[in-house]
Amino acid sequence: MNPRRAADSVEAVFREERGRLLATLVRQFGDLDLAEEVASDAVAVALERWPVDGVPTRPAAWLLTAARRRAVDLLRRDKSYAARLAVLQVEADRARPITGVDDADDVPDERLRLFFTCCHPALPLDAQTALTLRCLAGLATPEVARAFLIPPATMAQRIVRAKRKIRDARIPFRVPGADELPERLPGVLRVLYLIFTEGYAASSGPELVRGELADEAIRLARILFRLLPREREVAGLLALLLLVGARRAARTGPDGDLVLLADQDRALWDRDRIEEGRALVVRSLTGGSPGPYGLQAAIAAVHDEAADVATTDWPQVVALYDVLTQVAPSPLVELNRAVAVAMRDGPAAGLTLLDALAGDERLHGYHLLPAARADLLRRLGHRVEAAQAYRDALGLVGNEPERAFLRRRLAEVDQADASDPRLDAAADHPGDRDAEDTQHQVEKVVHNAVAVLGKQPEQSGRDEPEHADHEVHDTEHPDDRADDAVTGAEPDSGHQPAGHQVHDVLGDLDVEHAEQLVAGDEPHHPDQEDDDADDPRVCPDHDGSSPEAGDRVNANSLCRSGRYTSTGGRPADHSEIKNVLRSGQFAATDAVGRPRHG
Amino acid sequence: MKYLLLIYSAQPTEPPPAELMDKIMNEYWAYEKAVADAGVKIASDALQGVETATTVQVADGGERTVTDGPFAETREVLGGYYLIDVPDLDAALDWAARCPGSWYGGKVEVRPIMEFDAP
Repeated sequence: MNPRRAADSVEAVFREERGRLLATLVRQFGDLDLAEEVASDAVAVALERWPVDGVPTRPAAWLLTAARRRAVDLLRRDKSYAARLAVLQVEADRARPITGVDDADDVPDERLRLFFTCCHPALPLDAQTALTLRCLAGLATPEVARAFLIPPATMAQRIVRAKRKIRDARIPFRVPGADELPERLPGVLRVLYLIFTEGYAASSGPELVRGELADEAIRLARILFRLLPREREVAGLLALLLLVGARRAARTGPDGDLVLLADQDRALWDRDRIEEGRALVVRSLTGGSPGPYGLQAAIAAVHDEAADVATTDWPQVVALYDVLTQVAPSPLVELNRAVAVAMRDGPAAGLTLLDALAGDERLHGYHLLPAARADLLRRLGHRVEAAQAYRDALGLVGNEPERAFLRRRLAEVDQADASDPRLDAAADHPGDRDAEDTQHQVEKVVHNAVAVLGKQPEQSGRDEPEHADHEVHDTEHPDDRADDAVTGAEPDSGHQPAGHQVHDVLGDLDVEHAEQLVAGDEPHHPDQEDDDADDPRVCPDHDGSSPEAGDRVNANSLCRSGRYTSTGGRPADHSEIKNVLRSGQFAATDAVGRPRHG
Repeated sequence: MKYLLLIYSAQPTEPPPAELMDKIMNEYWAYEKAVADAGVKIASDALQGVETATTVQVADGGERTVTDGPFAETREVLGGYYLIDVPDLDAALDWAARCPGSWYGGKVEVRPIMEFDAP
């Protein structure tokens, strides 16, 4: 194996391991700064010594021991710091039961506490995302800065300020009680979702997709799902990210152009992610009232299972949006619903709904409203109005591929306008509106969705959630592309969209942006972001099939193997880490197979 | 850890009806009792109306300026406080949420007290 890749792979393992180590240390010392410093030191020492000395039999315990020693060293040197920490610890100890687990690889997983600390509502939202990426995804500050296209110094300051508030205001390192969870969990989910959308639909800058960031969000959602397997909205969020993320390879063309849902090559979609996401949707919508993430995921799943836009089950999509508007009302959900209605009943019906939204100031400055209008107007043949709406959208959008797309469309309608001005008047027949949207009952819709999504092949793993759900998809899969032809919704004459043209805005609008308001956030305003910084990263491969991506998945799957439970009491088993660390990745140093206790 | 809960509310243009006033006062008495019973209260007071406020400033040369009213004219005025001692911010936020000062459009600002090392 290429030694460089081996080192990358080991580092990938450590990145997640570091989050775990960090959480344990924060719990013990009550201080995030100290924990970060000694965790990094311990990992650095391990990366240096293990290739030479061999991998210890209990790597996690080795790391923890090394980090603790380092912490004790530091505290000896700084007496007043130590005194302050001692007070902290005594106070914290009063408030918690003694676990007694303090040795070896039976280190309890404390990351859930860290999630709730990093995503504490007392911190500003941008600091929450930054801290989560840094502490739980293991990104270094410059990487976090690059992910959000802001200067490293600004990001460093943001993180320092947040850590200072955690320390000075004493934001605790604790998992909220069952009674507080409904209030606190959505904040954590929102942070993960924002990380994903920033990666998947970058709000500004030259690149449409910053793939690594979207992958980080999925990785974090997996960790959270393992820690809170019974929280249905966590399953819903993971499902949503997988189902939308599955389309990533098809979302940009060879030149980085935006490719909308309608035009995407669905063969490029990641079937493994779709299948995994679909099972999670069913899980999310079963056993209680549906949450916004589960519903969004269900909508994404309906798209993902359709062979193309024409055979997409639009009535189902609209029905799910109907429920979503009840569960989590927001103008952005209304916007998406309007677009889905246009697909079901024709562009005029959608346009009526969009026009009703035009006065909503919460959508002010949001480019997808005029973009959606433009598309419906274009399809109705109102070219002058369409051109104006495209111009409006162009004035608001921040990322370059989306701008390019809107400019192309604008040029098309402008040209058509010049060549055939009669089109504008000829197509002006707003009479075909049929906006009788039957309000589907929530249970009926959800039951229907579960029934549709649940009756898929390859779903047997769902019955053994302890093992199957999140692991099975990382292993080799037989080629299941043949399923494509049958996974789409059944064509139904009543379901055919009225428009016959390609529906441009839909794919983008329909799923990928909706959650921002569902999650209580404002739409992205392009001018709020620093777009002066060039993102130096390139994301050449998004299909997860390259050797590097494969390695990454392997490394992740190690930490995904069900060792972590929400009870925290189950013994951890690090034998898999050992196996990977021993499996030839250190071959270059010829030191494999001489395990040594740390 | 000590936190100061600062109770802010809009200055009422007219006094609330007696019924509502009684209700609010009873809620405050219940809250007083709750913080005392939990052993977290260090001090608490309600302030007289902002129209009774006087602001003092002493210039570098020692010249004293006294002006009528609060130093900052804002719509929301400080009406009272609780000083509590609780383990962490979550506990302080819980007490803030239970305080009637955070209801009816009012707000409670939670500020940790700065601790100094003994000289």
